[in-house]
Amino acid sequence: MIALVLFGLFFLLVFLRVPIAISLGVSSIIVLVSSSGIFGLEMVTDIMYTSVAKFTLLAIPFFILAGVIMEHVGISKRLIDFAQTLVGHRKSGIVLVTVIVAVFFAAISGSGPATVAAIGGILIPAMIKNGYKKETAGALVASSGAIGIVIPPSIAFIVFAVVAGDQIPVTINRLFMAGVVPGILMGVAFVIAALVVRSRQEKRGEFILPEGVEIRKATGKERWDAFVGAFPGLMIPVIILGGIYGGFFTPTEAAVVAVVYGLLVGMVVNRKDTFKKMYRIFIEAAVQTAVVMIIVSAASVFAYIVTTEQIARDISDGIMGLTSNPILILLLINVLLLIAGAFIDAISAYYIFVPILLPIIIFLEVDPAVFGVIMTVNLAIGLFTPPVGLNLYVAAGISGTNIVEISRGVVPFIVAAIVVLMLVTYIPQISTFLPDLLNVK
Amino acid sequence: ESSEGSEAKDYDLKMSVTVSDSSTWYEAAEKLKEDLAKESDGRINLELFANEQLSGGDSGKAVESLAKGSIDLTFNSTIIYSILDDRFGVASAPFLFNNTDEVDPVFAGEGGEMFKEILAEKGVQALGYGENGFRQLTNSKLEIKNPEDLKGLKIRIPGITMYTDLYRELGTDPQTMTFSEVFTALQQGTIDGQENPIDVISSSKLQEVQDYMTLWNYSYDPLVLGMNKELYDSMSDEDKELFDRLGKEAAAYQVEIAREKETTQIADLEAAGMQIYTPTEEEIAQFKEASNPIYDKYTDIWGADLLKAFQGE
Amino acid sequence: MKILNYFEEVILFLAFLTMTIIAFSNIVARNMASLSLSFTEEITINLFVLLTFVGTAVGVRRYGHLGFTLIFDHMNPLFRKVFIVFSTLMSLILFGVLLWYGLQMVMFQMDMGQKTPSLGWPQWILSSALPIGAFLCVIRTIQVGIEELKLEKHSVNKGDEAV
Ligand code: NA
Ligand code: NA
Repeated sequence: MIALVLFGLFFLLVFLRVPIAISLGVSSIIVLVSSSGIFGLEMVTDIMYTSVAKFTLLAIPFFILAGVIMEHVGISKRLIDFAQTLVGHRKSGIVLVTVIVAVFFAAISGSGPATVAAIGGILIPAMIKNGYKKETAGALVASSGAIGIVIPPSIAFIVFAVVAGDQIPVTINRLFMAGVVPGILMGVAFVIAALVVRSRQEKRGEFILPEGVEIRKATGKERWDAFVGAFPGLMIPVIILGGIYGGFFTPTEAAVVAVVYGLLVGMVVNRKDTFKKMYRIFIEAAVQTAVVMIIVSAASVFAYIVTTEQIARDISDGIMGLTSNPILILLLINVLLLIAGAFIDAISAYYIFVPILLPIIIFLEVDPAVFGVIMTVNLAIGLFTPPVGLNLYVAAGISGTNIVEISRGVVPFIVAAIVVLMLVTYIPQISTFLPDLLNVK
Repeated sequence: ESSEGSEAKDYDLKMSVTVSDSSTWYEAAEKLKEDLAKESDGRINLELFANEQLSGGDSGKAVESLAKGSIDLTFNSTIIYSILDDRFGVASAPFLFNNTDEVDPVFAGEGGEMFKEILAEKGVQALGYGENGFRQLTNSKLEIKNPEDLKGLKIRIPGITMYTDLYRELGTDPQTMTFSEVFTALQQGTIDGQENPIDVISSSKLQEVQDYMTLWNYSYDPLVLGMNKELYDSMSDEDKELFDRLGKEAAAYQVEIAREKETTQIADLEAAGMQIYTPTEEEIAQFKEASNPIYDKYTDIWGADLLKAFQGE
Repeated sequence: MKILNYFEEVILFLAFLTMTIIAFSNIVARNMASLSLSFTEEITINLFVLLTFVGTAVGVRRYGHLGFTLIFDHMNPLFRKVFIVFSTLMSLILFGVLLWYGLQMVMFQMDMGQKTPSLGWPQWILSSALPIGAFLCVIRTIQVGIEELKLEKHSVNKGDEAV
């Protein structure tokens, strides 16, 4: 009953255009006050405070800040130039460039929409110039950008570790490593999807390569120059991952090092107006952080009710009551998360669904890191599924399409991502292979 | 949260426990819950919450909420209570007790009484004292037998000033990172060692990343079974007596099962390949000597009388 | 409101910059000087609280918070006004609770003389981050509600700010 009221109120508020964080908070307030009276309000405040004042979550602002800095110092453009000289001359060139750059930027940025914003501004127009439809160009960047939360560093994995960590030991380090191969697989799937779209459009005569597009192989010198230009950016994943797995930094510290490194690169690359620029960068990153953290904060209260009112146990018992077949249960979980991902953002989804699903996962003896990857791939898909998909909104804005058109364009990529999702769900070694090889627990 | 019965009041109370529902703390809380329900004929209901859920996982907040009255009862370490009053730090003073035989008379006697008074000043009624155990040292570098062995090691400690001072005195390089990062940091060698009661070491599986443990009983970690004092004071004399008696029993029960559990846990850690060392009396004396400056600095903060009571003098 | 904009931004900048400096000094100290500055953690996490709630206020002002606007977008102007008033009220409930009980929390900590565990600083000074942020959120919510009603059309730049 409480479950129905809580979830019902939440979705009602969301549909009435109340922001997600507010919907989470107010539905929780109503349920708490009706069950424990005015004391409930004191608890709301305490939990909203302590859920933010958590050391482990400090990696979030720093990874966001690092991403914003990288974008502003022109690292994305240099990465694009470099990828262009490597594969730009191929028929599939621009698609490859887009996905390769997305994967690289994902290894710098911890967030999906930030990845779209950082690379979309250049790559979407470039794809359109190469003959792709606006909605295809936007859709490829929107979906490739979602790789940002699957490949480390990832805000999503940090939040997962914090939420799941209450019940089962899982480290950010293992999650980060587990995400590498699945993230690359998603990239491969998107390339294939984009090329299928292209060949179908070609058959229908809809794909017209505009004149004057230069497609020639870059010379060795051009490649070298582009490499040198991109070098500072290419070093970031090395610093972050090398630092963490070499035992120099914790994930939080790695984020801070990335920030300082980015600021140094920024000072070298563009010397004038550094302070003014820095001021804007910090504020921009602070607001992005707040948008994530206010959801973390309000969702914690929601998660508190889901856990303490036994809602989590009732729902997980319900799911396990439906079938005892692990393959079906996992399928059911994926369907549930895909639907959830269509409507709510990844952070809320972790707080709402981890307490519910974790008992099932523990029962099925699935490696928690594998489950982290399954959930994150699901919620990455949610970033580019309508009606609520942040990447989609950002990419639609950049490509000059509307949300309906781009929603049509994104369908092949959703299908491709679901194929990857099935692979990581049923072949856990895809995720565990790398961390086990490196003995990361 | 309570309603008028024909003669005695009904209570529906919330109790927060710091650690998980498989801990001795929780087991004792369950005993308290059952005993209260039985002896009050179901009139007093205790709802238990593990992992400090009532305060978003934050123990400091739990103690604050207990004092404020938004949580009715908690089981918390006196280390946490230090945020309300520095004097609680005395219980964790370095090498204060050699073993539990020295602990028990202090908490049953004047030391326990004095703590009860300070707790009352802070709005908390102490029903009984449990234990998190003696804090022991683990590390991945060497077998630690005397203060000399500690030099230069990076040891993770809880973020309490007294511990920081102590570990500096002992020549280590103390780190106060959050506990959720400790396993990874130990595994990757970001830090060399840490200190905690056996139960924490064992349940966090630190034996997977730590080869050595020294059973030096350097700091005792007591628990307070506390109740919001305003709530306690508002109760009838019969109910007060019920909480006093059953609370004391539950706390004593926790101590009993914690000590049993610790013996098996030490054996399990050894079986898992941990090298366990128990320092000799002379070695303990060396550690004590090295930690004397802490007493110089903190005696005034704790209060000389309180320290004497805890030294069993 | 210009002064308020400036005030919020300066808080965000200084808080974030300080967090970065503290966190980086800690790494340098640990790796190079073999020193731990990790007691500064309690400053950092409370600055993080400040950053979150002041940043939320700026997010409100910039229409930056995530939401579902599809139904709203297809409404006639009258219904839209009702929706605007409704979501403003909902936001005020949450931020109002945070402001009021945040103040209670701070006052209680002051009364108790509660201290932070590592630095021994008065806890209430650090915890003030919550009511200060919540206060700004309340102001911004009212401001934006009125603004939206006046404009009567909405111009939500969804996603620009969000992650
Ligand atoms: Na990433
Ligand atoms: Na979606």
